[in-house]
Amino acid sequence: MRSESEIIRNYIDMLSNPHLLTEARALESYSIEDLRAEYARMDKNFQSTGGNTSIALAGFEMDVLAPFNSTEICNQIKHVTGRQCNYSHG
Amino acid sequence: MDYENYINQNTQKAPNVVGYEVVTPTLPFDELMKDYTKIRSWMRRTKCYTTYLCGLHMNISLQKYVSKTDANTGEMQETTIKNLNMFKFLLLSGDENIAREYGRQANGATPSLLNVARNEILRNPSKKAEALEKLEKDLLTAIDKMFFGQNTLGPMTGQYRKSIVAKPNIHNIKYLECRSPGYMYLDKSVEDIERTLLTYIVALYASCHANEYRKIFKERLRIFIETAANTRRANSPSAAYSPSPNAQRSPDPFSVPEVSNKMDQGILDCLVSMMCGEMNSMQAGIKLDHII
Repeated sequence: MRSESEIIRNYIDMLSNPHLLTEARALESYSIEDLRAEYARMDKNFQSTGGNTSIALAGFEMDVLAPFNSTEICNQIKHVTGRQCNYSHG
Repeated sequence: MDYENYINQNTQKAPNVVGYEVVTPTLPFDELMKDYTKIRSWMRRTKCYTTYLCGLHMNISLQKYVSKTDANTGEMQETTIKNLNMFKFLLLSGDENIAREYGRQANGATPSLLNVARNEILRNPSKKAEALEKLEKDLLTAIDKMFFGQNTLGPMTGQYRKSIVAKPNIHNIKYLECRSPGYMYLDKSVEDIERTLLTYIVALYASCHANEYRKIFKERLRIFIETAANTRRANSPSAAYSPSPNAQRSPDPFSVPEVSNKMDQGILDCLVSMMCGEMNSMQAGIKLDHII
């Protein structure tokens, strides 16, 4: 858990350097349609070189607070996604 | 393919609520978004929630770099992401803007990797001239190697306290873990999440292909190099995560005169509330996000 001073220091730093937030906006100005079109173009390139599935592979790590025990959340996610669920206690 | 769930150590939770990290399997982009839509809907319906401490880490790779079929045996063989230009990935994806979009720009656990390059230039001004000279000669890969290597990208040295982590290591990158998204992500639309993921994916593809987005990358890189030395980043908390042995955390950069000059009234009020014990650091972080 971060200390109070660490939080404030980070915010001060960002306030002091507003250009930090604007210098890298290459794809940020793209709409979701633009990005989908770009992804489709890249995927098409991949298919043309022998790919037989979509080019991008991805996964999420989702931190969440839930009113369930581990067995319940495992079963629920299996129920909604159709995928088997494993879990372990940390 | 299975989901793996495990319980995190999370102290910011109400009674009868458990902190989890739900780890999805690696899936093709389209399939992942379909699953995310279902999981998000279920989580919102069942009163699951997130806090400032929660991340939505996005692991991304490109199929052609992850597997190939052996011509003789027909078996899938893993390969690695090659020719990755990390500078290009950071600048094209808008690494710091994504953190801001999710209210995580001040999150000490995910400082931008761009700070590594900034601090190198701050500590060693000759690197600015050297990088600009290389830029003039179109040596973009050489610039990338000047700032990002095994000491900065892999999880082995910098632990996980940075915005992008190359896994399992810099010599054998199977995927990138993008750690900036998070916080109130369940309140964002599925399209917002898709937009972030696509931004990372398009940036990764471009970062592995030298001719993709070459002109805009060079423009961004020039701006970055020329302005890096004008920042106070060397004194920022993020600098503490730099791998350089010269990187020292300032003993107390949070001086009162400096604060008075930089803060607006809202932030000052927030600070006073914390000092008076009216709110804890997490509540302050949430309030400051709204102020900023």
